[in-house]
Amino acid sequence: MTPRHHVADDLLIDYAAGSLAEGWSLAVATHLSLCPECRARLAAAEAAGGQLMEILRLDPEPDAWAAVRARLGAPETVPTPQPKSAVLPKPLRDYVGGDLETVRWKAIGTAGAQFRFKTGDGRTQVRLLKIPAGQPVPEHSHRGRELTVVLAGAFRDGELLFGRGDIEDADEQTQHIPTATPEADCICLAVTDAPLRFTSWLVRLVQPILRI
Amino acid sequence: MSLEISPAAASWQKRFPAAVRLASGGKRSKSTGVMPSSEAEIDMSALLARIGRTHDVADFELLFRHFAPRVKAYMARTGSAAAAEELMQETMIAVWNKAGLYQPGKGAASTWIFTIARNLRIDAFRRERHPEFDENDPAFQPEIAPAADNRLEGEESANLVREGLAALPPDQAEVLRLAFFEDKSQSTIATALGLPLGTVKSRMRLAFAKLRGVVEASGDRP
Repeated sequence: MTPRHHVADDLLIDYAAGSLAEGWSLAVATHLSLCPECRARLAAAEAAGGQLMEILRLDPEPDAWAAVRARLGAPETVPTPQPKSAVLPKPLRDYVGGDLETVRWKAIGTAGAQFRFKTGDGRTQVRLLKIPAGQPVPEHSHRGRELTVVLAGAFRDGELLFGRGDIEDADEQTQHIPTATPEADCICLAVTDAPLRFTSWLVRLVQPILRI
Repeated sequence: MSLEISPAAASWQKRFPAAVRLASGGKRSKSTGVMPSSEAEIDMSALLARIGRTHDVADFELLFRHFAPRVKAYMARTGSAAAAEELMQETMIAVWNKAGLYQPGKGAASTWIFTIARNLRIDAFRRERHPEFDENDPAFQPEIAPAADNRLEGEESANLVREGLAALPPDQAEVLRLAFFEDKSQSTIATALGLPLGTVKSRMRLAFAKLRGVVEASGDRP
């Protein structure tokens, strides 16, 4: 079954254009791995990028070809080794360092677990979430946007059901209480805007001293 | 920047007779039997696919002379001329190294080269990665009903997208151009143009819907 909840146009265009921050891009790439329909949409957006580049023109350095000619080596066509099966799509495995069994879960509250990891953008907070079967998402408050991609199991949010590959796109106004369906634990990728740091006067005071 | 065809192109037929034979004689071109006389008439997607098979340096020079100025112009939108020159070279070397992975059935050479340039730009100017799906990933969900044989190949899809872009109202084309060239998110574009974010988003959505429309409608052709 392919996903029924898709990536919004603004995210897909920014992803194709290359202006989307890395954390959001990871959520989009994870969904794309599981969604043929959105890959077709992406192809159209990237074709637009290719054609926009096609009509640009600037003379390169006169000796650019000679310089590049001198740098050409034997072409590489080494395929990356792949496992036999995987739950986490490749873009996510690249960050986690392997499939689900390599995830170092940390309990949150009395139920549920999370695994946080870093991307290069410094603007988003990225983590895997494990919601126990039948339970609501623990510790759930966020500012700004939140993207959630289901990787295993399913959750229900109001009337809507989200299964593997589905992406939920929520903002801080969205009143939502995602709850795992009773059959199995639900594992998701969750990306939010990074929490504001250094808001207290004390931290601002010591910041210059600590050079952070 | 200009849209003119390089005057040097006229001499290419003499220098690259093999590549000229690649020039598209497909159903969308006017088949007059006359040999193409400029780079604009060479099927770059067929050329890139052949480079992937044969790794012919003369073919690659022809591809380079077409794309290098465009890739450099793209990079120059974000960085200095020196940085743009270096990133152009890195992009074209990556094109050479990865040409064997190019599949014309997935899109035009211009699209493929754009994505390589885009990823290098993100890495160079923002020190970020651009996570991407991998078709060989065991977790990858393939198409359930694969597209029929009438799927658009290389330059055919590029031609449709080019026509679609040319037909966009200027305000929609502008937001799309800013998104792709200026490394700007839609909220930054809104600020730069002094428009509400909703207006930028809706212009972008309309532009995108039209482009998808031309590509998808053509997929149904007999």
